Amino acid sequence: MMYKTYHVAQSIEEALSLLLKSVDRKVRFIAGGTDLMLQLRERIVEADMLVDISVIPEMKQISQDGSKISIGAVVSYSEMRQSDLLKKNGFLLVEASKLIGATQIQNMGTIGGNIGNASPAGDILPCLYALDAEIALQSADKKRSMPLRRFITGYRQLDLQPGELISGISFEALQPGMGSSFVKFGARQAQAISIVSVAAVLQVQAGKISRVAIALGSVAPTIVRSSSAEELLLSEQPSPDLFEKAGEAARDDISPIDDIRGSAAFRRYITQPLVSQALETAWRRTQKQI
Amino acid sequence: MINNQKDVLMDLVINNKHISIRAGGGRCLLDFLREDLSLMGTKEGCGEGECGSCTVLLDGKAVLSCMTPMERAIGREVTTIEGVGRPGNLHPLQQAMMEEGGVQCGFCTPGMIMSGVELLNRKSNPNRDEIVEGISGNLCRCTGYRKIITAIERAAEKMS
Amino acid sequence: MSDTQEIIEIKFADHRGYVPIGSSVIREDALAKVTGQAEYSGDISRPGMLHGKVLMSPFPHALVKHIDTSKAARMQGVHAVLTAKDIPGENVFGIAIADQQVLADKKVRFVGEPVALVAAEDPFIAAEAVRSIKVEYEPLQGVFDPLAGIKEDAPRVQEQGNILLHTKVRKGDYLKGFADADVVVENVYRTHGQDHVPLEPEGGIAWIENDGVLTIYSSSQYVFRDRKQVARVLNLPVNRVRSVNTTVGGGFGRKDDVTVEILVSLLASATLKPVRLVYNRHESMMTQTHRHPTITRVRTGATKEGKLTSMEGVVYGDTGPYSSLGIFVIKKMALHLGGPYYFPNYKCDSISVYTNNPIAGAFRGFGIFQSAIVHEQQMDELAAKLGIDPLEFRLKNCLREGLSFSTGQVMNEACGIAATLERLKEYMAEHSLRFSRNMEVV
Ligand SMILES: Cc1cc2nc3c(=O)[nH]c(=O)nc-3n(C[C@H](O)[C@H](O)[C@H](O)COP(=O)(O)OP(=O)(O)OC[C@H]3O[C@@H](n4cnc5c(N)ncnc54)[C@H](O)[C@@H]3O)c2cc1C
Ligand code: FES
Ligand code: FES
Repeated sequence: MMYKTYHVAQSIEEALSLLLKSVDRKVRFIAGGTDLMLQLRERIVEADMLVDISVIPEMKQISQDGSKISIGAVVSYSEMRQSDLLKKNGFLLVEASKLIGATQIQNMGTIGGNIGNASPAGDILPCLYALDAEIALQSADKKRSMPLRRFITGYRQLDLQPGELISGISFEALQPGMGSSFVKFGARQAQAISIVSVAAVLQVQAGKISRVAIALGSVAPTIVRSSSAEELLLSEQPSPDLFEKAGEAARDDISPIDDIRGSAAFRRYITQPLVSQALETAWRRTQKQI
Repeated sequence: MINNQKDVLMDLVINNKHISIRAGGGRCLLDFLREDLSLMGTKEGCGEGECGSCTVLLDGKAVLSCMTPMERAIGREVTTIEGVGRPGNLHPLQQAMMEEGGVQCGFCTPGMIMSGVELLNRKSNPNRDEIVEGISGNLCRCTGYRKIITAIERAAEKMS
Repeated sequence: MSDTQEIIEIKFADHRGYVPIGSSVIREDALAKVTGQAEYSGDISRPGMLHGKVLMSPFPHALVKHIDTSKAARMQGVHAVLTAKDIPGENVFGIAIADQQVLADKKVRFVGEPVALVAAEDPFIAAEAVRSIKVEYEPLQGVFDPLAGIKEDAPRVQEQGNILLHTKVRKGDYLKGFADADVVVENVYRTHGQDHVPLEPEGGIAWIENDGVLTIYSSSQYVFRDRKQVARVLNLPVNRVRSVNTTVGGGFGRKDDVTVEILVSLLASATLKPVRLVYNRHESMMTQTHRHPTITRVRTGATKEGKLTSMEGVVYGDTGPYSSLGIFVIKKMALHLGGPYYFPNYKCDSISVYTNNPIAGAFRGFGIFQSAIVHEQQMDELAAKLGIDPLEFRLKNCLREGLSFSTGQVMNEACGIAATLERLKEYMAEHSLRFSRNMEVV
């Protein structure tokens, strides 16, 4: 047995009360299970009870409220891929969803699980950092929200309180004139954990870069926003040359390590072309208004 | 953690048949299908999400049964290779896999067919890139994929 | 395609209605496979069946000081816990040379080496029982590189020494060949290990029939050799062992030697119940054979007209701690290092070295693959140095009927390399393709 009991929660309240009722037992939320089931099998994680949150209706929606886009925590990658709202207002999330795992993982895996797993290789995370996303948390007695950048505190570490659940994530919709992109480098195109990933958001006004966000995955204990590259780009005229320089600059902001997927030197090397590729694509999209 | 109790009531539709049996919980759907229902067509090639040989459809969506808790299937509909088509009544993709030589050792075949079936249900006329993407979660060590891709193309033609 | 049409035109004088060539034949077993009916090793069960599990060594090289199985043996649902001392016959197997222990006796020689076996009523119980076995190891210095392994003072992987086999192939006078050469290219090549990853991991089930015959169904490439090896370990006459092949979910050489056959047999004969053991991917990768990593130093000479004159090579093959088929794979490299090219003079040594790395064995290609990496790059470099087109250079030197191979064997048939290269040349001309400077076809 990998766990003793299994409960499917129908609402956030039910999920939270199940968590509270079993203080003395090891309880885990399970969304898609694509990280957790492996960890249970390998005994990296132990659980007595699993609380299935994957069918809670209010956590399964992608919605818009004014300029704010919200994604429920158990929205799957397949659902994000198909979302017209995201295609229009946060295309990089659609792009990243397509590059995560393959069909089966995309049908199962969720955005909340990617955050919950808190790996610096999580592909949705750089996108959310580049969007300055806010995370929404809920416990039996309170709701709170904060920038995702603050919620992720270190390598596989979150500011998630006991009894708390990630209910969703939100960000400001990308406006016309803004472009976004996500690129990753892995051993192959599908089923590959990123060796380096880059998310970029770019806005060009009157021929000058008026807003830029670059976030990198798998190059440090957490996702990194490259302030050096961002500073270099801001108020400049976009060009492939400039993007190459930005890639160089991004290398200053990373602290990669050697692991089975790639060496620190390789990660440092590949960061530059990936950043410039992400920026070029985002730039192209500013003209298409996505 | 040892549990000999049949502590879970597995009430679900499997391959279009409603079943309701008691089983020991806490396992993955793959083990339940194989050990409790003797549906041996679904294979374990890795047990960790990499190979796709355990692919089944859960409410019509391709999922990895090695990473799906069995209890998640309660009240839902599961389709395995045994429910796709039987000898004499094959699914066009099963027929095409045979004719195009998409089958060698055959260990990847059930999972590959499940991914192919889901793809064909989603898209009646997938192009080559969509096919490649659709089966990119399924590893095959024998065929080199080309004949599998052709088989899916043939099946799509036949089905339209 | 024109190629297929040519094949279709082949006519048999008396084909009795059976013309497989040129017609599309559906595999005999395809129907069973597309419907999920084909029975692989893990799909077979018997009433009362137990599940086997192996405790594997976490150390690459260590003395086994003490094994405490008492807790596992007391667990509810556990029917047998076996270690080396429970083996009825000889604790040894190996397809080419019987140099591998079934269960570690005094020491372990690689990570993943089986140390103890459990049979239990349920896979989770079996896993729990395996985890409860306490083994006291005394880690030893290991050998992780064949070049380190051949040193005088290297730790001994096998008591008799670390060199499994040294093969020497000599033809003509290699030194004279180099004296005749205008250019010489010398390099060191390293190839890495590789896992076969047959999609079906190794597995099998064994039971004792009513007539006392030990019956094994397993995913195997060679049941007749399996039964002999099982008989020796179980101390049974060979005719008391029946080996049956299940549908095999890929082998590629991996399942050439015994995989789980002896282990399930030991458990079945100890419990008198059917026992099934199927490795998970992790176990399979650790405990089964791989492709040999190799290190090759090579020197190749040619005249300025582009004729090969000599080749000299030394191959070090990392065979892991046991021979498996390693002895033949690396032996073959000494023969094939020159590839399908004619060398009037040739000298090659290949040395299989025992190490504490994963076991290397048969893997499709069987040493040819590692050789090809060497000879093809040598050809490219020589061609480049001589300013000759790489395809022309190969055509000038390829083996043709009447020429002799590295061993001196004269080719009198089945020497298709020239025809293949000619066809390639035509194809490249037809499609306006040429080699780029770094030998890619552009
Ligand atoms: C073959 C394979 C390929 C993969 N490829 C990729 C890839 O390309 N890119 C990538 O980024 N990842 C990849 N992954 C990892 C994984 O699929 C993703 O991280 C996925 O998003 C996890 O989501 P989940 O819903 O399955 O999480 P789960 O496994 O259900 O949960 C993960 C963790 O988060 C916790 N959790 C989940 N939801 C919540 C919540 N709402 N509130 C609080 N805690 C929660 C769980 O308790 C658990 O600890 C891959 C995994 C596999 C097996
Ligand atoms: S067995 Fe489930 S993905 Fe390999
Ligand atoms: S046919 Fe053997 S793995 Fe696909």
